Formats: sequence, C-alpha cells, structure tokens
Amino acid sequence: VHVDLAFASRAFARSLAYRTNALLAIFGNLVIILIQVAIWRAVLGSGTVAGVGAREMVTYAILSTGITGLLLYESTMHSVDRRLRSGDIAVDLIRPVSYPRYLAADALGQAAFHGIFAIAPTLVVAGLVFGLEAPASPIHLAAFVVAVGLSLTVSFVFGYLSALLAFWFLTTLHFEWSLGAFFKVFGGAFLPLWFFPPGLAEVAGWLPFRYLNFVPVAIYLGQVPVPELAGTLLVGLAWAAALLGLAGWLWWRSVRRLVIQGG
Amino acid sequence: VTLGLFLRFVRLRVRERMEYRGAYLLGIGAQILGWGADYAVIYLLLQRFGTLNGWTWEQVAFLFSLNLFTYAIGASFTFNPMTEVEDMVADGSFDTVLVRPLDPLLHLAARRYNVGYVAHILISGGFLVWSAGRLWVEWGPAELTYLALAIVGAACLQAAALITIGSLAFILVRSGHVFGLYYALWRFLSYPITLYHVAIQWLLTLVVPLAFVNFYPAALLLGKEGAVLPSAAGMAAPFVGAMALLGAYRIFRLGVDRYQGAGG
Repeated sequence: VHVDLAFASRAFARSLAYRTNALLAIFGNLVIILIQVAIWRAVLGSGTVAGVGAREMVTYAILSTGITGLLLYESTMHSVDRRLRSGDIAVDLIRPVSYPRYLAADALGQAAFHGIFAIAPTLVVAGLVFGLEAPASPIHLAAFVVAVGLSLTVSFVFGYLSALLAFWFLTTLHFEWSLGAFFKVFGGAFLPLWFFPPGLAEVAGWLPFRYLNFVPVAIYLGQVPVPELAGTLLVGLAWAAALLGLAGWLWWRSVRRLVIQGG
Repeated sequence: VTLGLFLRFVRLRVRERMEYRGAYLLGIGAQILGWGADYAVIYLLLQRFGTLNGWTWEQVAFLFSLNLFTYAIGASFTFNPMTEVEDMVADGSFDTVLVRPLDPLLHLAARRYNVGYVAHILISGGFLVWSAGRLWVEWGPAELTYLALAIVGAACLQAAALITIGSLAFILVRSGHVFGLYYALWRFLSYPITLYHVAIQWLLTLVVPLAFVNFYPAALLLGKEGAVLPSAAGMAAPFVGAMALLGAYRIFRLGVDRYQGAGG
C-alpha cells in the first residue's frame, strides 16, 4: 500500500501543473450539464415519465457528468499508449512493482486530482445553479459510494484491457472509439436506461457498461429498491472480478509477446 | 497552379496514411461507431419523447449532421495547422512557412491537410441525405442551391473559428486551451438552440455566431421558428460564413506580421 500511495501521490503532484486544464474541465462539464438540464426541462416539464421528473433528471445529469470525469478508462489507456510508443514500457516492466498495480495507482492519483479540482467545483456550482436532490436514504447513499467504487474499477479494467490489446495492434485509438460508443449508449451517461425501449433496456441490463454511470446514479435517486441493492452491487462485483481475471490472463500473454517481439 | 499543388499535397497525405491501410480502415470503422453512438442516443431520446422543442428525430438528425458535416470539411483544412501553430511559433519552425512561395495560411492548410475526417463525412453525409429525404421539404432548385450555399458558409465559419483561435498563438504563449473552450461551446450546436437560455442564444447568434452553422439554416429550410432572430436570418448564413473566414484570414495575417516583427 505504501508503494501504491507513493505512485498515486506522484501522479497527483504531476497533475498540479495543469491548473488551466482543471478550469477548462469545469467549464466543459458545466456546459454538458446545462445542455442536459435544458433537454430534460423541455421534454419533462412539470410531469413525470417512467416515474421520473425533471428535478430527478437534473440530479442525474449532474452526478452522471461528475462520474464521467472520474472514470479511469482514458487515463489508463493513454498512459500505456504513450509508453508503448516511446518504448518506456520496458522500464515499467522491470520495476519491482507489478505493472497493473502501478497503472491503477497512477490512474487513481490523476482521478483524485481531477475529483478535487474539477469535479467537486462542478458539483458545487451545478448544485447551486440547477439544484441537486438529496440521496433517497442513508442506505442508498452508502450503496452509491460503493457503486462509484465499482464504476471506477470497471472503467479501469476496460482501459487496461484496451491497453493490453494495443500490445498486439500497437495503438489504442480504435478501442477508445469503439468502446466509447458502447459507454455512450449502454453506460447511461446521458440517457438513463429506464427511458430505453423494453427490448434494448433488457440488453443493456445484461451488459457491464451500465455500472459506469447508470447504476450509481439510479441507486442515489432510489430507483433501485433497498432489497435489490445488495444483488445489484454483487452482480457488479462479479463483472469487475471477471473482467479483472480476463485482464490478468491477457497481461500474462502480452508480456510474453512483448519479450518475443523485443527478441 | 495553387489548386494543382494542393491536390498533390492531399495525394501525399493519403499515401502517407495508406502505409498502414489496415489501421486506417479500422480507425474509420471505429470512428463511425463512435459517432453512431451519438446518433443512437438522440434517436432513443426522441423515440421516448416524440419531439424536442417541436423538433422531430429526423429534424434533429438533420441539424446534428449539418454541424458534423461542415465541421469535417472546415477542420480538415485547419485543425492540424492551427493546433500546431502554437508549437511552431514557440520553437521558431514557423520561419520555414514564411519562406514558401505560397501564402502562409494556404500553405499550411494544404501541407497539413487532414485526411482523417472520412468517418465524419461518411456518417454525417449519410444521415444528411437520409434525413433530407424524410423531411417535409419540397427540395426544388431554390432549396438545394440554398443548402449547398449554407454548407459552404458553415464550413467557412467552422474553419474561421479554428483559424482565429490558432492565431492567438502569435499573441499568447499558451493558447491551446482556447480550443477546449471552443469545443465546449460547439456542443451547444447538437440540439436546437431554442432549448437554452436567451443569453446563450444571443451568444451563439452574435458573439460566436455558431448558430449560423446549422440552427438558422435548418430552421429556415424546415419552416421552424427562429431563436432570438427569426428563421429568415438563415438567408444570411452563407454571407456570415464568408465574412467570418475573411475576418479570420485578416487576424491570421496580423498575427504573422507580429511574428515577423518579433523575430527581426
């Protein structure tokens, strides 16, 4: 844990140099929230659809945008991509710390920076301007925190998996675009799954992407009843474990491949 | 002569990319999937709610495509050079552009032409044609001429915005983040601007006239109500685009003069 903390705090310090980026991220997030709020107010007015009204959807837009800013997918992928191109990956591999651990700590450090300097201000400003609903209950709030943790884990594994595929294809860009497409639709970043037509909602329910944005916010809003909370979180945990297992196997194969390529 | 030279530059760029044909085609497929997801979300939203401020799915798809299509055209000439000007000014390599026989801006636009917007063009062009066929518009010669002019104007406008921001590199040491600000504003164009607060509508109409890229032309063609200006303002869209490009060109020239002054 000590080593992990050291890596994470280094990434945190590195990020401090990018204050302008944080301001930009706040502005960009606020624009996204503003657009979504305008849309929900236009289509929902003072009524409710599928048991949800404009006030809930405003909260959904704010929290979901905040979560998107924390996801570890892109930072993980980009750091592997950069080091694969420069060849520095060889240095990473001979470190006494396992590479995936280093990657996770590094991504978490960046996310912590982003969380404090970009996401927290976004939430405060958006909450004051547009109004943020309170969590449905203390239990839901606790489950929300756990679900955000799961969301970070799943997003890290997706980034890590795409990065590993880059060992074969030598670029991560294609995976970033393709996986991003699934995130956009099935993750529920903007449109929650309860507004999907029944068939598609069924499909989305079977995919792991909904654990990125949809599940945490749905829990916060109390759209997941208390008896189902544990089950929902356990399924997410199973997804995270399965994807991590897949990544572990692929990692083992990739390292062998890299060595062979290095000849 | 200029056009021939430009086409040769483009051919070189395409051949550069085709070195890695598989990766290039795979990239196009992935980008189409990425943009397709944006269309899918809009489709699902309008499936559920019918209309968005009176705009149907086909109409929003038309609006969205008009923006994406003209962005791809405008940015293919300007995105690469304008995001690189900052570094070229910083390390002095902009000097090499000044000794070329061609106008600096034309030279950069041709030499750094980006052939990577194929995916944008394919998907937005496809949706543009598809939605145009399903809209309640009688596509006569007048409408088609207007649409063609509006597309050219909008592409000029999109290019003008990137050139103006790129020119800031001659004044500010670090100007890259202004692109980030611009792309945040650009997001507003995905939906009818009547959704937003009046202040934002004025901002997009007068200050950063991006509403002339897609909102006013689409509102005029589709017989929609305008925003802070009536939809008849759409008639001015090609003109606004041309003026913006001329203005951006002047700004870039001013920046180049400044650069020369500083170097001497």
